[in-house]
Amino acid sequence: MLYSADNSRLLVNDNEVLASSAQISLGTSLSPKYLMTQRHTQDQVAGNGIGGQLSFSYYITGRDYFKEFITGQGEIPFSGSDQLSGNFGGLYFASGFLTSYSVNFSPNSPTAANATVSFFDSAGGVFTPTYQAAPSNTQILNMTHATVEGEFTTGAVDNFIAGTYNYSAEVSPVYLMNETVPSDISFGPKTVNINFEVDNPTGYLPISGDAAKISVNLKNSSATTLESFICSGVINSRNLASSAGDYVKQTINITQSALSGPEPVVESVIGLVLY
Amino acid sequence: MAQVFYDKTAVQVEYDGVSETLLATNCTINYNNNLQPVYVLGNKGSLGHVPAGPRVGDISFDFLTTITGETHGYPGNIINYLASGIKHSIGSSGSGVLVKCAGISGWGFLNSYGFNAQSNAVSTSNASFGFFGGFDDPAGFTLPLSGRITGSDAEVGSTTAAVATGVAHGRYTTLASLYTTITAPDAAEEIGKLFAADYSISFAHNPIYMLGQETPLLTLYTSATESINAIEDVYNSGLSYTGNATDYPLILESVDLNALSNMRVTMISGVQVGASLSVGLDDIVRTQKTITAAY
Repeated sequence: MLYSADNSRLLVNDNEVLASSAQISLGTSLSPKYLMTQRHTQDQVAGNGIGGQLSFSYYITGRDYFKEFITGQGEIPFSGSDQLSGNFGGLYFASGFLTSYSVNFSPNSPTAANATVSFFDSAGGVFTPTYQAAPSNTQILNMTHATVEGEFTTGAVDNFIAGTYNYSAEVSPVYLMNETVPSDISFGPKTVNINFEVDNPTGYLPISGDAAKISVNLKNSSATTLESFICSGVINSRNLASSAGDYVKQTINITQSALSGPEPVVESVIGLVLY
Repeated sequence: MAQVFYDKTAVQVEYDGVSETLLATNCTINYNNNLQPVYVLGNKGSLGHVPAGPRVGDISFDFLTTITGETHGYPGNIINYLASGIKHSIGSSGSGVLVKCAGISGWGFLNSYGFNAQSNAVSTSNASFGFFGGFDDPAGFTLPLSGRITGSDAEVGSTTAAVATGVAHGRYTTLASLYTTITAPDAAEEIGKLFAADYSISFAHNPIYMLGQETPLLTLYTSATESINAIEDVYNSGLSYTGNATDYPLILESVDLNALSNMRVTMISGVQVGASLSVGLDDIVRTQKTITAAY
């Protein structure tokens, strides 16, 4: 039996996600077991537990539920609330963790985000089709109404053309002997970076980076800010590129590694005084 | 009053203080938004339509190839003046021109322009402009198109006689630069007879959009492609592999031998890229060569 996308609802923590695409994948860690003098083997042995990922793209309609996990997940005190359960068309997992998240900012386009939830067990259930009509009162935020603000130590940016907000986190399972599912989760570093095409071609990039902050405010058609994406860190790369028939594109990348605690402050450079 | 007859709907182009009413024979204005239906997993039907791009418009019209006008000292119609100026421009950003028809107006960028010439026939031209909006100065052109259908008095009514002889015609337009000359080692030189020719040029514009607004920040002019198709009676079987870049000056004349002006277009470094031959019942063998240039 084949089904269509209309029949496969995506639920995360029992909240329906307005996803334009989704995929759930599972993988083992099997590797062939060879004995000495053998070039062929029938034996495959597991080197680790089962791992799965739920990846999906969805439209942002207001305050984004998944953005809360950027600052909340894995922080002390740890609580179970920062776990994500997922159900895609009836295939479900009970406990997953947000490992990557990105939002695309493109002129005149609906705001779309991508998220990946990793889990460390097999998925339960069977595919169960759903039949329901689309809601009629949904408002999808559009970048036409967005505002972008930047704070830079050096230089000025007048226009922000397009960009991407990215988040990634290291999440590792901790297994005990004789168990195939992890007993605990180890959270590694989390990083946020924002990549933006701007209009000030310059090659200035000090070895220590250049403090900068970009805020993207998503608004509805009434100009009410519903969600904001802020990256306050240092510019760690610049890119200047063009191709025949196109214009010169200057791109900066700001990275932020401290996602909790006080926000870095962008201050003016102290001028060099010569005596 | 929306019922406006065609005689009240002149096509007018204004640029840099010069306004010209073209002898248009038809005109079409299109305006499109970019609404796309949104579908999501697990739901039958669309959530609704959302903008996936800006609103853009365009206008296209055919007109008689008037050659007795003058724009900033250059003879010919204003479209020919604009095309010549853009293709030789070394600037990157386009400024646009004001285009009006039937009360609808916009700040447009020339997308394409072309004309034809054939024996014993009036030459006709065509042009199209793209509208992106985003102009605050002059005020009123923030959106790509504005206005409502209204009629206006035709401005060419009192100068009918001048118009009739100020239109390019095939009678005295030779376009001699397009004649194909064949010189074979063992035969006499042969020069083609030109029956008709079509000229066209298209421009690539690139509007740059930024976050937080619908209309472009600026519109860049990137490149132009020019083409001539000439109908003759000789076939160039010695078509060059590497091309032979040549300038092709085209001079359009009216039927009035006393006319003081003609309209000129010069294709710079054009190369022949194609030769074709066709014949049908009750006709001679006709050939067509295609010449292109890029700017």
